[in-house]
Amino acid sequence: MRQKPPAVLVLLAVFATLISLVPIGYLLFRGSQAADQLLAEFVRPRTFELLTNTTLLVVSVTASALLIGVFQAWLVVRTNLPFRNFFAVAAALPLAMPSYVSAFGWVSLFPGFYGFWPSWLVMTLTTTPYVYLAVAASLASGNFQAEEVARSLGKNRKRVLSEVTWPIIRPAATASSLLVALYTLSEFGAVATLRFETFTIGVYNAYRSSFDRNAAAAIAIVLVVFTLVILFAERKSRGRVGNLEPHSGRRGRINIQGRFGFAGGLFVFAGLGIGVPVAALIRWSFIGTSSAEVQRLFDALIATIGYSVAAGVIITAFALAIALITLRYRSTFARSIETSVWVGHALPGIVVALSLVFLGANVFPAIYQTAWLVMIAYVALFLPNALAGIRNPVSQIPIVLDDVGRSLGQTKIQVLRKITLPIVSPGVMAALALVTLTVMKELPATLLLRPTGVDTLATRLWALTDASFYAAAAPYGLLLFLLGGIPAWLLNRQIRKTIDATT
Amino acid sequence: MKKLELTNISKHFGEELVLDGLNLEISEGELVAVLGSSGVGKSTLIRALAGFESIDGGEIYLDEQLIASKDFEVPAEKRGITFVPQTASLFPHLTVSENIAFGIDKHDTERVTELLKLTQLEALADRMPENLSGGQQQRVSLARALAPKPKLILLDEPFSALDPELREQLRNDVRNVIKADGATALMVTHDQEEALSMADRVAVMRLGVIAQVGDPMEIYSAPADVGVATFLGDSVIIAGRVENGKIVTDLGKLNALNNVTEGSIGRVAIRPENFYLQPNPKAESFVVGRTFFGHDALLEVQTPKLRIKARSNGPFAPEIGMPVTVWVRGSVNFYADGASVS
Repeated sequence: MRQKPPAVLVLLAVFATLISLVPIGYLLFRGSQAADQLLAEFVRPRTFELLTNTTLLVVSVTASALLIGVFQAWLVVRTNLPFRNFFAVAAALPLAMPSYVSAFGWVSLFPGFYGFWPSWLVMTLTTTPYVYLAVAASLASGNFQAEEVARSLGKNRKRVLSEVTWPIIRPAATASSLLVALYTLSEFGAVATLRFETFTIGVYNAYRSSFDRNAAAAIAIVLVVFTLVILFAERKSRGRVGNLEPHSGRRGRINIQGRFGFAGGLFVFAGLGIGVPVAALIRWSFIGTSSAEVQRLFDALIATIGYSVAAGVIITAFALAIALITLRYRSTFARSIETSVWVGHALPGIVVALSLVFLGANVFPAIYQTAWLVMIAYVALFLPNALAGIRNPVSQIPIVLDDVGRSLGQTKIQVLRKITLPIVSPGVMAALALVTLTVMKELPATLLLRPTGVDTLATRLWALTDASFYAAAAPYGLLLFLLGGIPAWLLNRQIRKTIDATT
Repeated sequence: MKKLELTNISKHFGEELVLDGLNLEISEGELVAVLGSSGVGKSTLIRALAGFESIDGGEIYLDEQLIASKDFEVPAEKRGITFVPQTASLFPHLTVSENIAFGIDKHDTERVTELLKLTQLEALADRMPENLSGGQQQRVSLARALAPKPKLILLDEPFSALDPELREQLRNDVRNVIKADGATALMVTHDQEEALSMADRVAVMRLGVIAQVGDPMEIYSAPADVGVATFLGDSVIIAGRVENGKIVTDLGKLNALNNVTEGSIGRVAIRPENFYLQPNPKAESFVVGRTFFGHDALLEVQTPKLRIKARSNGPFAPEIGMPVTVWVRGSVNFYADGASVS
């Protein structure tokens, strides 16, 4: 029998798992309570319209992000593109721009920029970096001597590309484009700002306009089903990622015709993704704002930092406990905890928020409209992010260190305190920072669950944009862009290291 | 005095019986090597002793106190059994001296200094593990395990991650350090040379049981059965029959080392170095193969009825095609079919 994990870890992990399962559990419970009404909602023309809109946006954004992202990655990593180092960073930079800030930028510069095409453009600009980063990493670490072997066996460039290069990057391309689909599906702020009605907006409007809980719940359940389908596909595809042989030896870059033209194209794309929103933020910031709004900005900043730091600490502690249990004490219990946590990953923020609104209002009025409910939403939404960041450093600690520590007279808890935690602390701090910064940008759950009178940067930006107070909104967007830039910058250093180490 | 006693230990993993009624005793101050090929349950034995794996049957006594049985277990941290894992596994966030001091009172600098000296690591006391060579790391790991003056120290293939040259040097160092510190140690290894050269006694392990225990010389020259004989080194196995107290084989009549029953049929095991090849133009055996190793050579010899392997002094080995008479030096072990030698 493998050793049992310490009770304190089990407690933390179980608690975190329960929190992750609460939103979907409660939503399904509500659904089963009012099944007849829900069925009626499902077949309304309105639901069908939302389904069409959502499918259209998800498919088109995923396709364009995949095409552009793969092409960017190939140009940057494999060809003699001029200013490669600049473009390596520029292509990832839109990650620093929260989607709804980007949407604010476009709308505020181009009045009437509403509907499908604007939503498609902004979502493509926002999500392409996910494909670009994943494919660039796989291109940089793949063994491309196979390309040269294929050339020597008489295949021309095009056939090498389709028969050798594509199979190597396909897992990364598939997984990342499915992530883009998930992201687009659960996007709230940007599509709301650009006034294109997808499921998330449908849920919000149904909830807001009539407080018609059943309509909102019905749309939310359709959204969850849609999400689960994509999530399942994503997990399926993930199994094949990361089996790349490390490449060895030097390899040449492919000389392409018209490389300056391609560089120009990349420059324009980066300009649309980052330049336009930044220009808008700067332009409106110069117009200035009222002193009352400056005070509110300051209050929102304090609230944002308070919420995100608190959530960061809680989430990271939970994630650490789960990572330790799942990686060090493999068991069915550990596996089921991990799977449950990933369910949170599947749920769009608006769904989690809606479910917790019901739960708070009906079951736990004591925490309704308090920071506690907001924290629960953050845990459900961002625990998987923290777990992804923490798994790696934890998995790198050999389990035998625990055994050695035990044999030297230390209890499991002492081993945890004296060995595991000190070794893993840099990884934990990095995960804490990333989660905190991600929480700062959260919009839909905060919007629905925050205590009355409290605003974060994101919710205040949203309210001001909605009312077309662009000059007042710009400083919020600027702050969010700067805060969002930090994790993007961290991620970028990582990718640059990978690319540099292998070229 | 009995330090460790294992009686009838058994352990299953699912359907598989990994330890199958294993018995072993170790005396105070002894260094015992458990020798076996991979998959015979050595690691499970180590883990059961250390307290990381529970046992399904039998008892483990340390200093005549029960520490583990089917229903009872002293937790790993309370056993006073430390171990040196396959890879040094130093705590990466602690210096060499902090690693060594991990299991003892922080202020016991005297013991740390003593161990640094014993393992010749004084100059490296404040280094971080990442700045040490593989051999240095393994010495720190040993010092760390010895520091709390454990009742027993376990070594789990402690040299297998090192390159061969370093391994030989370290074997001596480790043995000397353990002996100088007066520790009782159990080492598991799959390396015959390692076990024979380091241990006071060797226990040959086979599929969950100890097949034979004895001092290295005894184990090597008087293996309990044909299996142990071939596991410990090259052996030529020949059929034989006992007649008039001698063993009649295709290589002539041989003297038995052990007690034999008149008329019994069985096999003898002869080490290649126990053959002597005498060049003889009239002989009916011929050298048919020769592999030269420098200090010695392995020859293949075709006798009228058998093909055998013989070790010979390298530079003076007979050449291929040379007729030789095959002599067997000294006496041989006879293994009667269906019985093993006590």
